Amino acid sequence: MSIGDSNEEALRESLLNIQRLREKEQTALKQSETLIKGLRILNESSSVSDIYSKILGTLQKVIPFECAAILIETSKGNLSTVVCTDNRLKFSRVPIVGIFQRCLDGCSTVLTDLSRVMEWPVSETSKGNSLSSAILVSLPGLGQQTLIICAGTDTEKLRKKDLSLLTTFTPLATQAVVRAGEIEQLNMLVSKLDYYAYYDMLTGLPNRTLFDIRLDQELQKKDNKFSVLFLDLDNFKHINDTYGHDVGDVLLSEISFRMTGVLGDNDTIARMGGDEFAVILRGEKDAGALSAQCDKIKSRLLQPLFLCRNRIEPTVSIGVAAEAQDVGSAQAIMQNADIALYDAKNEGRNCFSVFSPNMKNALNRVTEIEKRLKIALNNQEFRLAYQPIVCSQSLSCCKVEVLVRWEVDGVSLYSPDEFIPISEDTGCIRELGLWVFMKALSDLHGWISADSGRIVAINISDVQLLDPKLPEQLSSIVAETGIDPNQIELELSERIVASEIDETVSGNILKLQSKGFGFSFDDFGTGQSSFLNLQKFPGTTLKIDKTFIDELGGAEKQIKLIKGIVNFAHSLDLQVVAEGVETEFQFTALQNISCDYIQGYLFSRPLRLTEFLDWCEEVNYSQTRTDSRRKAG
Amino acid sequence: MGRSPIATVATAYNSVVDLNSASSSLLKKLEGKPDLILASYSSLADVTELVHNLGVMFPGSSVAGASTCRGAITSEGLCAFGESNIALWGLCDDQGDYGVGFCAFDDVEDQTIVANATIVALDIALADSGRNGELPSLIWMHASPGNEGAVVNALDEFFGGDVSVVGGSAADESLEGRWSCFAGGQIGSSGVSITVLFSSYEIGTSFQSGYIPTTENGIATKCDGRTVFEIDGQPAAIVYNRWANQIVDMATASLPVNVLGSSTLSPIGIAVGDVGGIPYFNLAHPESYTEELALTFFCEVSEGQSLTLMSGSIDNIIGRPSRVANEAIHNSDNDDCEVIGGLMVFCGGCLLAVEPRADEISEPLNQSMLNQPYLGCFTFGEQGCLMGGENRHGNLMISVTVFKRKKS
Repeated sequence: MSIGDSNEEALRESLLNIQRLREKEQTALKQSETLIKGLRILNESSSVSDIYSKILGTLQKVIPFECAAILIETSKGNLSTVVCTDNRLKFSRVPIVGIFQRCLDGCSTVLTDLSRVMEWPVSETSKGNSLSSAILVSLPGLGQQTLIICAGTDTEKLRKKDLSLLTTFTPLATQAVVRAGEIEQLNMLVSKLDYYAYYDMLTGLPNRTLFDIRLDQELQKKDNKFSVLFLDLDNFKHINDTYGHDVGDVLLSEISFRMTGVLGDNDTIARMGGDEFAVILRGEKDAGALSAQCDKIKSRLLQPLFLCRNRIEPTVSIGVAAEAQDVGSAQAIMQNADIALYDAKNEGRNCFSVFSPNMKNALNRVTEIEKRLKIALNNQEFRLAYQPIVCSQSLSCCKVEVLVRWEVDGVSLYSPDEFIPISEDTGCIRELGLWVFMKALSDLHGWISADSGRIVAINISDVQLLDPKLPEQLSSIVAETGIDPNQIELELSERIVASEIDETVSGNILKLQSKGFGFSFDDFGTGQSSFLNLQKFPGTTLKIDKTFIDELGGAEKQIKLIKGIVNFAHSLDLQVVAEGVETEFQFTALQNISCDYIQGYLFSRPLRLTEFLDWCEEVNYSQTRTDSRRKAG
Repeated sequence: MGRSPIATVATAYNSVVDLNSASSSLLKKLEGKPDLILASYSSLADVTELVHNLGVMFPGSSVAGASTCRGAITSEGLCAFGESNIALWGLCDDQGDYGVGFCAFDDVEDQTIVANATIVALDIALADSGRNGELPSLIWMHASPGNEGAVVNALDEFFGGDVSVVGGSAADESLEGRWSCFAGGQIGSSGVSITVLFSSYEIGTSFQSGYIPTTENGIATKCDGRTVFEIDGQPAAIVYNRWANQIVDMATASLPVNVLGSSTLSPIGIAVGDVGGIPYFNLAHPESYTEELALTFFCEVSEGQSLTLMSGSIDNIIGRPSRVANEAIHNSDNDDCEVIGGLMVFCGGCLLAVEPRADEISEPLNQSMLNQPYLGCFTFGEQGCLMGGENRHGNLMISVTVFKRKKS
């Protein structure tokens, strides 16, 4: 062979290679066209399950398989078919071992004889026996182990070239699946956002937005009858402050669950925010039915639950907008229900009120008071009044109760019965209470000093007592004025004494007691008066409410009752003050049964400071004269 | 020098001590315990002792091999020709599986027996690999000369022609019948050795002749197995002798006459396919002219096949392995992979033709193999996968198989 022969051989070799590459390219081109078409279809998919089916559909055009399937790791160490063209490849819980493990590790394979492959699983159909060959390729990077299996029969065996094609296709398929997965997640996120837009995350109830939509829908229905309830948990803020928001959240969830249970399937309950819920009660309901429904809700909620080892008996105030369909607008319905709710709160909570038009005026007044309260202190619109409390035996004024009045230019704006509860609701009572305390001590500094046995009685709200800073604040004021805390009696309402005392409240009482402050049990007999309450009361004085004294008109039974209270109080080392004494008869009777102190118009109405000081002087002068006369006689 | 996944060692083999030394040397070069050991030894070696000791020295490894004409070639050059020698090729592949199987056959005339023996050997190899039912990435085979076509056909039938079958027939010094092949602990002078490779490495192969077609061609019009009686209706020996420029003086020659040596550069090409109209050939090496003026070959020829006189040269044969290696590397072209070693099969007939210059083979081959270790054996029949994807047994062929792994 010559050099020419070598060149000829090289030329021939080159030609062969070129031709071979051309043929390969042509085949690859044809396959690429098919795959590109398939990929376009894949990219139109927006769900993973849909894209799996389309992958198999695309492969069917380029690989002569009898059937194909996609398997994913549905449980740890096991694969299951998620989509297949034929039940012969429908497998469940195929252990990831042998060929499956190798394939998932990236070693794609051709199975030439399935009957020889020990790991080959049994399909859900006996027809699986007709399959003889298969190609296996993994789809890596999907976060979940995923396999594609294409299977062939004896007559149409799958080949290495099919595997080669499949492995070319899989990265593109993987991308499409990832993309579809992302879109799917995005859609899920959008659905979730939709959900959050209309539902309350904590309770799963519809939120205000959805409630408003449903309320509008109710209004648009012809000949529709429905009522709306507006509910507010009583003292929820106190529970949140005391036990923390986590406990508050659990309570809200439980309340939602309980309320859902007592409402009909057609009714709508929504959480409007905080501790407020609203209900659309569908159907015509008369006063009796509404009352029954509200009672049902109340009694269901009242069932005790235990949160953080604390027994809680939730109560709720309910405002009812009855025959809501006639109100006109959703806004007006909710306003009416809100007004009724406010009324229910004013009625002492744990009750319901049905809206009536005159409630609006009351609410307007409340709103006005709320607004003015915020600036009244700065504008010095409050003043103090002092009502003497006299000793029943000596008739000397040894105590005085401090009362607050709201006046502008000497004219009373609102009565304490109106503005005190509102100031408690709004929290203004804390600032107002401190002002009263400070002002009273400043005013009465001289009066107290004149006789060290004199006592100043100042009302303390339970809202004030919930403030952990209260003992320090009062002590600081007392220290500045130099008044002995033993000369100050803090009047607690029966509400505080009768209820389960909060830890903060009881802690504050103990601290104040340890600093020398005295306590009196105010308004005894107005609420759930109980001698048991008296036993646990930490104070020094019991004040019998005016309503008891009013009944003291000569009936022996009433006299005996009050005597019993006085005696019982004395047995507990409590002194007794009778409030609202207006007649000589009442005074004499109380004197006879050894009531210690008398307070009431019989002796004096609440007085301005100068009036009070003058009154005291006058009483002292009279007493001195009477005593002189007695001595002379 | 660092350890590698593929390594070779070659040594003169006079005793077990030589084998021990070679084995130790090989293990030192390998990066781990070998999964596969291929051996190529001269027919002068004591094969029974050799196979036994290989099993002892490489426990747990799949071991197979065959005798080679003269001695093997490695990247370090030729073994000591004319002496008992051995070359070992080892491969480590944690992610792959390998298995070997051997089956002897006595009746070489019955192709069914050969085919059945092939499947038996294959079954053993598949079981050894633990990958039964799967398509291997490559089948490496050795067989005693004479029935390799039946072996290749049986493998093709089993796998649908979907896996490349590469290998070489066992050989001896000069067609004395002292060849042998083995797998595991089984040896035979008449049988088939199958190695299945489920490799994690990328494998590329090329199987080519070192010859170019001439314009001389005809149709085999009367054949029987490896004997062609007539070409274009005329006595085959007369036709071939004319094509080959009277390599035998028919007037004086005493028939039968052996033409194995003189026909090496003028073999017959059997067109087995074409790429874009350009035919490619499997070579048939003329062995002898018979008394009936028939022409015998080392492979079967069928009636109707087109026979073309091929032309070669010593230079071309010597340089050919390097070019086949380039082609094998190109066939598994992957920028992320690097060549880690390979296997070469070189026709023993060609070796005999170029023997005085045989030491020239390794240098260009080393360059093509990027100086990675390879084992080359000289065989009396070559099996490989032609560029059209057909597995064929042929003569005067060269094959190179390269292993590549992802660059670290």
